Amino acid sequence: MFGGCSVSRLNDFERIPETSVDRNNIQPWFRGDTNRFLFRTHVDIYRNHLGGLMLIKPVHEEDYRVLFITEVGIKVLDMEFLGSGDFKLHYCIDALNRKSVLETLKNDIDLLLSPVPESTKIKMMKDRQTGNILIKSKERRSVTYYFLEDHYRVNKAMRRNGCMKKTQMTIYSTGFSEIDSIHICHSPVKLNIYLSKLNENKSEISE
Amino acid sequence: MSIALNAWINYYKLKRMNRMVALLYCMCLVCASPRTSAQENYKPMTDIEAFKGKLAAMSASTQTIVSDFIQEKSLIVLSEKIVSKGLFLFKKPDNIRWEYTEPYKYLIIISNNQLYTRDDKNQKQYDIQSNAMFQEMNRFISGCVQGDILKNDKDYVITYFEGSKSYFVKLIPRDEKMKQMLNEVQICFDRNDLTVSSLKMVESGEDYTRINFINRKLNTEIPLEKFSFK
Repeated sequence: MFGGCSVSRLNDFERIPETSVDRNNIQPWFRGDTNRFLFRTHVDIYRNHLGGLMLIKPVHEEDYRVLFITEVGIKVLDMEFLGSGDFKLHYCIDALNRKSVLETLKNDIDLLLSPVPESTKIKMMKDRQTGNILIKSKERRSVTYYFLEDHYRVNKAMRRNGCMKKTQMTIYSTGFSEIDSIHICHSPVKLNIYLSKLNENKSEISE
Repeated sequence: MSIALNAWINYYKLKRMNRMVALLYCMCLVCASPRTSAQENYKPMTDIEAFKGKLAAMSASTQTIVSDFIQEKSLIVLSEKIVSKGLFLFKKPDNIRWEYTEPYKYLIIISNNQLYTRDDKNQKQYDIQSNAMFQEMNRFISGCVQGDILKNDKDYVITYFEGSKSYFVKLIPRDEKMKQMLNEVQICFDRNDLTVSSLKMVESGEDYTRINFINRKLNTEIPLEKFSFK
Protein backbone atom coordinates (compact mmCIF):
# COMPACT_ATOMS: atom_id res chain seq x y z
CA MET A 1 0.00 0.00 0.00
CA PHE A 2 2.74 2.44 0.94
CA GLY A 3 5.51 2.87 -1.55
CA GLY A 4 9.00 4.02 -0.80
CA CYS A 5 10.29 7.56 -1.12
CA SER A 6 10.93 7.14 -4.82
CA VAL A 7 11.67 10.00 -7.19
CA SER A 8 8.81 10.71 -9.57
CA ARG A 9 9.75 10.99 -13.24
CA LEU A 10 9.28 14.44 -14.69
CA ASN A 11 10.39 13.53 -18.24
CA ASP A 12 6.88 12.56 -19.23
CA PHE A 13 5.50 16.04 -18.56
CA GLU A 14 5.17 18.91 -21.01
CA ARG A 15 4.88 22.60 -20.17
CA ILE A 16 1.42 24.19 -20.40
CA PRO A 17 0.21 27.77 -19.72
CA GLU A 18 0.03 28.72 -16.02
CA THR A 19 -3.61 29.61 -16.47
CA SER A 20 -4.58 26.07 -17.51
CA VAL A 21 -5.78 25.25 -14.00
CA ASP A 22 -7.25 27.83 -11.68
CA ARG A 23 -5.56 27.32 -8.30
CA ASN A 24 -8.72 28.51 -6.57
CA ASN A 25 -10.53 25.48 -7.94
CA ILE A 26 -8.15 22.96 -6.39
CA GLN A 27 -10.16 21.25 -3.66
CA PRO A 28 -8.59 20.89 -0.22
CA TRP A 29 -8.97 17.39 1.24
CA PHE A 30 -9.89 18.52 4.71
CA ARG A 31 -13.02 20.53 4.01
CA GLY A 32 -16.59 19.55 3.37
CA ASP A 33 -19.26 17.92 5.47
CA THR A 34 -16.89 16.13 7.82
CA ASN A 35 -16.11 18.29 10.81
CA ARG A 36 -13.08 16.28 11.88
CA PHE A 37 -10.63 13.76 10.48
CA LEU A 38 -9.14 11.13 12.76
CA PHE A 39 -6.13 9.12 11.63
CA ARG A 40 -4.29 6.16 13.09
CA THR A 41 -0.72 7.41 12.99
CA HIS A 42 2.62 5.64 12.81
CA VAL A 43 5.93 7.46 12.83
CA ASP A 44 9.08 5.53 11.98
CA ILE A 45 12.39 7.26 12.49
CA TYR A 46 15.32 4.97 11.83
CA ARG A 47 14.58 1.93 14.00
CA ASN A 48 12.34 3.81 16.38
CA HIS A 49 8.57 3.76 16.19
CA LEU A 50 5.87 5.99 17.61
CA GLY A 51 2.17 5.34 17.37
CA GLY A 52 -0.92 7.34 18.15
CA LEU A 53 -3.83 9.24 16.68
CA MET A 54 -3.81 12.42 14.66
CA LEU A 55 -6.83 14.67 14.61
CA ILE A 56 -7.31 17.30 11.93
CA LYS A 57 -10.08 19.76 12.69
CA PRO A 58 -11.01 22.45 10.17
CA VAL A 59 -11.86 25.68 11.99
CA HIS A 60 -13.11 28.92 10.46
CA GLU A 61 -12.53 29.57 6.81
CA GLU A 62 -9.04 28.24 6.10
CA ASP A 63 -7.65 27.44 9.53
CA TYR A 64 -6.92 24.00 10.95
CA ARG A 65 -6.25 22.60 14.39
CA VAL A 66 -4.04 19.50 14.40
CA LEU A 67 -3.55 17.35 17.48
CA PHE A 68 -1.50 14.24 18.11
CA ILE A 69 -2.61 12.04 20.99
CA THR A 70 -1.50 8.62 22.16
CA GLU A 71 -3.80 5.60 21.93
CA VAL A 72 -4.56 5.91 25.62
CA GLY A 73 -5.59 9.52 25.19
CA ILE A 74 -2.57 11.52 26.28
CA LYS A 75 -2.15 14.72 24.30
CA VAL A 76 1.32 15.05 22.81
CA LEU A 77 1.02 17.92 20.37
CA ASP A 78 -1.52 20.65 19.61
CA MET A 79 -0.89 22.96 16.65
CA GLU A 80 -2.92 25.50 14.72
CA PHE A 81 -2.37 26.31 11.05
CA LEU A 82 -3.87 29.59 9.95
CA GLY A 83 -4.96 30.40 6.42
CA SER A 84 -2.70 33.47 6.52
CA GLY A 85 0.27 31.09 6.64
CA ASP A 86 0.87 31.68 10.35
CA PHE A 87 1.44 28.80 12.73
CA LYS A 88 0.65 28.58 16.43
CA LEU A 89 1.90 25.92 18.82
CA HIS A 90 -0.67 25.43 21.57
CA TYR A 91 0.96 22.52 23.36
CA CYS A 92 3.86 20.14 23.03
CA ILE A 93 5.24 17.70 25.58
CA ASP A 94 8.75 18.54 26.72
CA ALA A 95 10.42 15.55 25.12
CA LEU A 96 9.22 16.55 21.67
CA ASN A 97 9.62 20.28 22.07
CA ARG A 98 12.72 20.69 19.93
CA LYS A 99 13.05 23.13 17.06
CA SER A 100 14.15 20.54 14.49
CA VAL A 101 11.34 18.11 15.36
CA LEU A 102 8.63 20.78 15.41
CA GLU A 103 9.89 22.37 12.21
CA THR A 104 9.74 19.01 10.40
CA LEU A 105 6.23 18.25 11.63
CA LYS A 106 5.05 21.77 10.87
CA ASN A 107 6.34 21.60 7.29
CA ASP A 108 4.85 18.14 6.72
CA ILE A 109 1.41 19.07 7.96
CA ASP A 110 1.51 22.38 6.17
CA LEU A 111 2.23 20.51 2.94
CA LEU A 112 -0.80 18.35 3.64
CA LEU A 113 -3.22 21.12 4.54
CA SER A 114 -2.40 23.94 2.17
CA PRO A 115 -0.76 22.32 -0.80
CA VAL A 116 -0.70 24.99 -3.51
CA PRO A 117 0.18 28.44 -2.16
CA GLU A 118 -1.30 31.29 -4.14
CA SER A 119 1.50 33.70 -3.40
CA THR A 120 4.29 31.84 -5.18
CA LYS A 121 5.36 31.75 -8.80
CA ILE A 122 4.46 28.55 -10.52
CA LYS A 123 5.06 26.51 -13.63
CA MET A 124 2.41 24.16 -14.90
CA MET A 125 2.97 20.87 -16.71
CA LYS A 126 0.85 18.08 -18.08
CA ASP A 127 1.51 14.35 -18.21
CA ARG A 128 1.61 13.40 -21.87
CA GLN A 129 0.03 10.03 -21.22
CA THR A 130 -2.52 10.56 -18.47
CA GLY A 131 -3.25 14.26 -18.85
CA ASN A 132 -2.69 14.77 -15.12
CA ILE A 133 -1.39 18.18 -14.09
CA LEU A 134 1.85 18.97 -12.28
CA ILE A 135 2.41 22.34 -10.64
CA LYS A 136 5.94 23.43 -9.76
CA SER A 137 6.09 26.09 -7.09
CA LYS A 138 9.33 27.83 -6.18
CA GLU A 139 9.83 29.54 -2.88
CA ARG A 140 12.87 31.12 -1.27
CA ARG A 141 14.54 27.93 -0.10
CA SER A 142 12.47 25.18 -1.57
CA VAL A 143 10.83 23.83 -4.67
CA THR A 144 7.55 21.94 -4.40
CA TYR A 145 5.91 19.76 -7.03
CA TYR A 146 2.17 19.17 -6.72
CA PHE A 147 0.66 16.31 -8.69
CA LEU A 148 -3.02 16.84 -9.39
CA GLU A 149 -5.54 14.14 -9.97
CA ASP A 150 -8.43 15.02 -12.23
CA HIS A 151 -7.37 18.71 -12.21
CA TYR A 152 -8.78 19.47 -8.77
CA ARG A 153 -7.18 17.29 -6.11
CA VAL A 154 -3.54 17.06 -5.08
CA ASN A 155 -2.70 13.38 -4.62
CA LYS A 156 1.03 13.73 -4.37
CA ALA A 157 3.48 16.45 -3.42
CA MET A 158 7.24 16.50 -3.35
CA ARG A 159 9.34 19.21 -1.75
CA ARG A 160 13.08 19.73 -2.08
CA ASN A 161 15.04 21.91 0.33
CA GLY A 162 18.51 22.45 -1.08
CA CYS A 163 19.97 19.51 -2.90
CA MET A 164 19.74 16.97 -0.10
CA LYS A 165 16.53 17.22 1.87
CA LYS A 166 13.45 15.83 0.26
CA THR A 167 9.91 15.28 1.48
CA GLN A 168 7.31 13.34 -0.43
CA MET A 169 3.65 13.10 0.48
CA THR A 170 1.26 10.66 -1.18
CA ILE A 171 -2.47 10.67 -0.58
CA TYR A 172 -4.49 7.52 -1.18
CA SER A 173 -8.18 8.05 -1.63
CA THR A 174 -11.36 6.07 -1.97
CA GLY A 175 -12.88 7.32 -5.19
CA PHE A 176 -11.85 10.95 -5.60
CA SER A 177 -13.53 12.46 -2.63
CA GLU A 178 -12.39 10.80 0.59
CA ILE A 179 -8.94 10.25 2.00
CA ASP A 180 -8.09 6.69 2.94
CA SER A 181 -4.47 7.08 3.97
CA ILE A 182 -1.43 9.29 3.67
CA HIS A 183 2.26 8.52 3.54
CA ILE A 184 4.89 11.18 4.17
CA CYS A 185 8.52 10.22 3.77
CA HIS A 186 11.78 12.08 4.14
CA SER A 187 15.24 11.61 2.83
CA PRO A 188 18.08 11.39 3.65
CA VAL A 189 16.67 11.27 7.22
CA LYS A 190 14.81 8.00 7.47
CA LEU A 191 11.56 9.45 8.74
CA ASN A 192 8.26 7.96 7.59
CA ILE A 193 4.81 9.04 8.71
CA TYR A 194 1.80 6.85 7.93
CA LEU A 195 -1.73 8.09 8.49
CA SER A 196 -4.74 5.78 8.06
CA LYS A 197 -8.17 7.32 8.37
CA LEU A 198 -10.30 5.83 11.12
CA ASN A 199 -13.92 5.32 10.28
CA GLU A 200 -15.74 6.16 13.46
CA ASN A 201 -19.32 5.06 13.86
CA LYS A 202 -21.75 7.83 14.74
CA SER A 203 -22.52 5.93 17.92
CA GLU A 204 -18.88 6.15 18.88
CA ILE A 205 -18.89 9.93 18.77
CA SER A 206 -20.48 11.14 21.96
CA GLU A 207 -21.51 14.72 22.71
CA MET B 1 27.36 15.48 9.23
CA SER B 2 24.88 17.92 10.72
CA ILE B 3 22.00 15.97 9.11
CA ALA B 4 23.19 12.76 10.72
CA LEU B 5 23.63 14.54 14.03
CA ASN B 6 20.15 16.03 13.84
CA ALA B 7 18.71 12.64 12.98
CA TRP B 8 20.47 11.08 15.95
CA ILE B 9 19.28 13.84 18.30
CA ASN B 10 15.72 13.40 17.04
CA TYR B 11 15.97 9.65 17.44
CA TYR B 12 17.26 9.99 20.99
CA LYS B 13 14.53 12.45 21.93
CA LEU B 14 11.76 10.35 20.45
CA LYS B 15 13.13 7.35 22.31
CA ARG B 16 13.06 9.34 25.53
CA MET B 17 9.52 10.43 24.76
CA ASN B 18 8.56 6.80 24.28
CA ARG B 19 9.69 6.05 27.81
CA MET B 20 7.78 8.98 29.27
CA VAL B 21 4.64 8.02 27.39
CA ALA B 22 5.11 4.42 28.51
CA LEU B 23 5.32 5.63 32.09
CA LEU B 24 2.08 7.54 31.69
CA TYR B 25 0.44 4.51 30.10
CA CYS B 26 1.33 2.45 33.10
CA MET B 27 0.17 5.03 35.57
CA CYS B 28 -3.18 5.03 33.80
CA LEU B 29 -3.32 1.27 33.97
CA VAL B 30 -2.34 1.18 37.58
CA CYS B 31 -4.88 3.72 38.68
CA ALA B 32 -7.47 1.80 36.74
CA SER B 33 -6.71 -1.62 38.05
CA PRO B 34 -9.03 -1.70 41.06
CA ARG B 35 -12.19 0.69 40.75
CA THR B 36 -15.61 2.62 39.29
CA SER B 37 -17.76 5.79 38.13
CA ALA B 38 -20.78 8.10 38.68
CA GLN B 39 -21.94 11.69 38.42
CA GLU B 40 -23.14 12.79 41.81
CA ASN B 41 -22.64 15.42 44.49
CA TYR B 42 -19.59 14.69 46.57
CA LYS B 43 -18.64 15.92 50.00
CA PRO B 44 -15.32 15.50 51.80
CA MET B 45 -14.86 11.95 53.06
CA THR B 46 -15.46 11.66 56.78
CA ASP B 47 -13.50 8.50 57.54
CA ILE B 48 -10.57 8.18 55.15
CA GLU B 49 -8.82 5.47 57.15
CA ALA B 50 -11.93 3.27 57.08
CA PHE B 51 -12.12 3.73 53.30
CA LYS B 52 -8.45 2.82 52.89
CA GLY B 53 -8.95 -0.22 55.09
CA LYS B 54 -11.90 -1.44 53.00
CA LEU B 55 -9.96 -0.80 49.81
CA ALA B 56 -6.98 -2.80 51.09
CA ALA B 57 -9.29 -5.66 52.09
CA MET B 58 -10.95 -5.60 48.70
CA SER B 59 -7.58 -5.66 46.94
CA ALA B 60 -6.40 -8.54 49.11
CA SER B 61 -9.42 -10.64 48.21
CA THR B 62 -9.28 -9.81 44.49
CA GLN B 63 -7.36 -12.29 42.36
CA THR B 64 -8.61 -11.15 38.94
CA ILE B 65 -10.56 -8.31 37.34
CA VAL B 66 -12.27 -8.42 33.95
CA SER B 67 -13.93 -5.29 32.63
CA ASP B 68 -15.01 -3.69 29.38
CA PHE B 69 -14.04 -0.09 29.09
CA ILE B 70 -15.13 2.97 27.13
CA GLN B 71 -12.58 5.70 26.77
CA GLU B 72 -13.70 9.25 26.00
CA LYS B 73 -11.18 11.84 24.96
CA SER B 74 -12.45 15.37 25.39
CA LEU B 75 -10.58 18.18 23.68
CA ILE B 76 -11.52 21.83 24.00
CA VAL B 77 -11.20 22.23 20.25
CA LEU B 78 -13.82 19.52 19.61
CA SER B 79 -17.50 19.66 20.48
CA GLU B 80 -17.68 15.85 20.34
CA LYS B 81 -15.51 13.35 22.13
CA ILE B 82 -13.22 10.75 20.58
CA VAL B 83 -14.48 7.41 21.82
CA SER B 84 -12.61 4.12 21.91
CA LYS B 85 -13.52 0.79 23.48
CA GLY B 86 -11.85 -2.35 24.67
CA LEU B 87 -11.22 -4.95 27.35
CA PHE B 88 -9.23 -4.70 30.58
CA LEU B 89 -7.83 -7.73 32.42
CA PHE B 90 -5.91 -7.96 35.70
CA LYS B 91 -4.53 -11.07 37.36
CA LYS B 92 -2.46 -11.22 40.52
CA PRO B 93 0.34 -10.69 41.23
CA ASP B 94 1.26 -8.22 38.48
CA ASN B 95 -0.40 -9.13 35.18
CA ILE B 96 -2.29 -6.45 33.28
CA ARG B 97 -3.78 -6.57 29.80
CA TRP B 98 -5.26 -3.44 28.27
CA GLU B 99 -6.74 -4.09 24.85
CA TYR B 100 -8.30 -1.47 22.57
CA THR B 101 -10.64 -2.97 19.98
CA GLU B 102 -12.57 -0.02 18.49
CA PRO B 103 -12.07 2.06 16.40
CA TYR B 104 -8.43 0.90 16.37
CA LYS B 105 -6.56 -2.10 17.74
CA TYR B 106 -3.91 -1.54 20.37
CA LEU B 107 -2.60 -3.82 23.09
CA ILE B 108 -0.61 -3.16 26.26
CA ILE B 109 0.55 -6.01 28.50
CA ILE B 110 2.48 -5.73 31.74
CA SER B 111 3.77 -8.99 33.14
CA ASN B 112 6.92 -10.39 34.78
CA ASN B 113 8.72 -7.08 34.83
CA GLN B 114 8.11 -6.60 31.11
CA LEU B 115 6.03 -3.99 29.36
CA TYR B 116 4.76 -4.96 25.93
CA THR B 117 2.84 -2.88 23.39
CA ARG B 118 1.47 -3.91 20.02
CA ASP B 119 -0.47 -2.09 17.32
CA ASP B 120 -1.38 -3.03 13.78
CA LYS B 121 2.13 -2.24 12.59
CA ASN B 122 4.64 -2.64 15.39
CA GLN B 123 5.33 -4.31 18.68
CA LYS B 124 7.70 -3.27 21.44
CA GLN B 125 8.94 -4.79 24.64
CA TYR B 126 10.64 -3.04 27.53
CA ASP B 127 12.48 -4.59 30.43
CA ILE B 128 11.10 -2.71 33.39
CA GLN B 129 14.18 -3.47 35.52
CA SER B 130 16.63 -2.09 32.96
CA ASN B 131 15.62 1.44 33.65
CA ALA B 132 15.28 3.45 36.85
CA MET B 133 12.11 5.09 35.61
CA PHE B 134 10.52 1.74 34.84
CA GLN B 135 11.57 0.41 38.25
CA GLU B 136 9.89 3.33 39.93
CA MET B 137 6.84 2.73 37.80
CA ASN B 138 6.81 -0.93 38.73
CA ARG B 139 7.00 -0.10 42.44
CA PHE B 140 4.07 2.21 41.88
CA ILE B 141 2.12 -0.52 40.09
CA SER B 142 2.81 -3.10 42.77
CA GLY B 143 1.74 -0.65 45.46
CA CYS B 144 -1.51 -0.05 43.66
CA VAL B 145 -2.30 -3.69 43.09
CA GLN B 146 -1.61 -4.37 46.75
CA GLY B 147 -4.16 -1.69 47.60
CA ASP B 148 -1.88 0.95 49.06
CA ILE B 149 -1.70 3.36 46.13
CA LEU B 150 -3.46 5.96 48.20
CA LYS B 151 -0.65 5.91 50.75
CA ASN B 152 1.58 7.55 48.16
CA ASP B 153 1.18 11.13 49.30
CA LYS B 154 4.87 11.73 48.59
CA ASP B 155 4.22 11.98 44.83
CA TYR B 156 0.60 13.15 44.91
CA VAL B 157 -1.61 15.47 46.88
CA ILE B 158 -4.57 13.18 47.52
CA THR B 159 -8.04 14.42 48.38
CA TYR B 160 -10.95 12.14 49.31
CA PHE B 161 -14.67 12.65 48.69
CA GLU B 162 -17.76 10.53 49.01
CA GLY B 163 -21.25 10.45 47.54
CA SER B 164 -24.26 8.21 48.01
CA LYS B 165 -23.16 5.77 45.29
CA SER B 166 -19.43 6.17 45.04
CA TYR B 167 -16.18 7.35 46.52
CA PHE B 168 -14.14 9.89 44.64
CA VAL B 169 -10.39 10.41 44.99
CA LYS B 170 -8.40 13.19 43.39
CA LEU B 171 -4.64 12.88 42.90
CA ILE B 172 -2.60 15.94 41.96
CA PRO B 173 1.03 15.24 40.98
CA ARG B 174 3.62 17.11 43.03
CA ASP B 175 6.27 16.88 40.32
CA GLU B 176 6.16 19.95 38.07
CA LYS B 177 7.25 18.04 34.96
CA MET B 178 4.48 15.52 35.47
CA LYS B 179 2.04 18.37 36.07
CA GLN B 180 2.77 19.76 32.61
CA MET B 181 1.26 16.62 31.13
CA LEU B 182 -1.25 15.67 33.79
CA ASN B 183 -2.94 18.22 36.01
CA GLU B 184 -4.81 15.67 38.05
CA VAL B 185 -6.18 12.14 38.14
CA GLN B 186 -9.70 11.47 39.40
CA ILE B 187 -10.77 7.97 40.39
CA CYS B 188 -14.32 6.90 41.22
CA PHE B 189 -14.86 3.77 43.31
CA ASP B 190 -18.19 1.98 43.42
CA ARG B 191 -19.42 2.27 47.00
CA ASN B 192 -20.74 -1.30 47.03
CA ASP B 193 -17.70 -3.29 45.96
CA LEU B 194 -14.95 -0.64 45.76
CA THR B 195 -14.15 -1.47 42.16
CA VAL B 196 -13.09 1.44 39.95
CA SER B 197 -15.98 2.63 37.83
CA SER B 198 -14.15 5.51 36.18
CA LEU B 199 -10.79 7.10 35.83
CA LYS B 200 -10.39 10.66 34.60
CA MET B 201 -7.05 12.17 33.64
CA VAL B 202 -7.17 15.95 33.32
CA GLU B 203 -4.45 17.51 31.22
CA SER B 204 -3.22 21.04 30.90
CA GLY B 205 -5.73 23.24 29.10
CA GLU B 206 -8.68 21.29 30.54
CA ASP B 207 -8.53 18.52 27.96
CA TYR B 208 -9.22 15.21 29.61
CA THR B 209 -9.52 11.45 29.11
CA ARG B 210 -12.22 9.56 30.97
CA ILE B 211 -12.25 5.78 31.08
CA ASN B 212 -15.49 4.19 32.21
CA PHE B 213 -15.28 0.58 33.35
CA ILE B 214 -18.41 -1.42 32.68
CA ASN B 215 -19.43 -5.07 33.17
CA ARG B 216 -16.84 -5.43 35.91
CA LYS B 217 -16.27 -8.98 37.13
CA LEU B 218 -14.05 -10.00 40.01
CA ASN B 219 -12.25 -13.30 40.54
CA THR B 220 -13.21 -14.99 37.31
CA GLU B 221 -10.72 -17.40 35.78
CA ILE B 222 -8.25 -15.74 33.38
CA PRO B 223 -5.66 -17.98 31.68
CA LEU B 224 -2.08 -16.78 32.07
CA GLU B 225 -1.66 -16.94 28.29
CA LYS B 226 -3.64 -13.71 28.11
CA PHE B 227 -0.57 -11.96 29.52
CA SER B 228 2.04 -13.57 27.31
CA PHE B 229 3.71 -11.65 24.50
CA LYS B 230 2.76 -13.52 21.37
